[in-house]
Amino acid sequence: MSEIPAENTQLIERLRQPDTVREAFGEVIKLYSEPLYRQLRRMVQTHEDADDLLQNTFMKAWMSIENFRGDARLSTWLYKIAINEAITFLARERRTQGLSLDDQEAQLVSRIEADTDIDGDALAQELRKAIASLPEKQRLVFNMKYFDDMKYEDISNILGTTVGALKASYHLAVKKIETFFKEKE
Amino acid sequence: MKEDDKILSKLQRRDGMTVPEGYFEQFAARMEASLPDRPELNADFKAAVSRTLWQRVRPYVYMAAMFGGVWCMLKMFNMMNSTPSLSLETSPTMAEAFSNETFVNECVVNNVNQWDLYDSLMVDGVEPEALLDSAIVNDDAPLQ
Repeated sequence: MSEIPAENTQLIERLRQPDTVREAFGEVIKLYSEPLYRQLRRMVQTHEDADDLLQNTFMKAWMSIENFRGDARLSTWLYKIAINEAITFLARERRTQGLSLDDQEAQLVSRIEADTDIDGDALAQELRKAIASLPEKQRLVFNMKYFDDMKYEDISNILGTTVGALKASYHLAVKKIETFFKEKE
Repeated sequence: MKEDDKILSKLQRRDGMTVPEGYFEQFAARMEASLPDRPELNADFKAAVSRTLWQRVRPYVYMAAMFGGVWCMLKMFNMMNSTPSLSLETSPTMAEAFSNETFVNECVVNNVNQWDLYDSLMVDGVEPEALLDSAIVNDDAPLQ
């Protein structure tokens, strides 16, 4: 699990000054690369795709840094961009390859099985497969809640969904994962 | 909700995914180097600041304009309802104008419609026969 960095008001202030913005953004990249990468990787499964999407995320953030006004949390803003990138990537993949949602789930599972960038933990691999079989939104909510231990309020700000809907979504995801493991036994 | 599910708690929030050695350090350096220069940022920040200021005051300006509009409407209706009827007793200007015979002949009498006058007389109870002898009907320049 990678911790989401605490908000740094000085860093945000430097992001809002033309003469310090580039240097401050370099710090943002260092601070947020890992949590954003993990979030992206859990969605698209392969290191190469997650790497591409992470680059796109930071590039988009940099190209619209003047629009970050500091009234939203920096992490929320970056997560929104990253998640939007991941969802767009998956939708584009479905469209260009003519895949249904079920086909894409199967494709994600086969990518997990072929993934070599793993620590060899079989249970963790099985959990990845279980998560890949969840609907997209449940997958997002489960990833943010379980792996990043984010508060429902923060997830709500990122996904634009009510806390109640997120709790229900997480609950359903946990139930489906339990069922997945029970069926494996 | 059974969040402390056995398998999930056993995994302790590990996802089992790894990255190539030194990936994040290299990524940060690569990413920083690939960021294009943005000389326009200076102006953009200024524009963003002024836009922000307007965006912050805009709801209050709209609200003030709305209240202003409502106030003007109320004021207008109030004036329309409370305007006293002009009479010779209350308006010196009217009294002065109506004491001027030329003004009355040219501006008032010439603008009176004959049929309106007949209607008014009938409402006041004047008999139609009486009109036959009246100066109005027999005037050299009859009213139109």
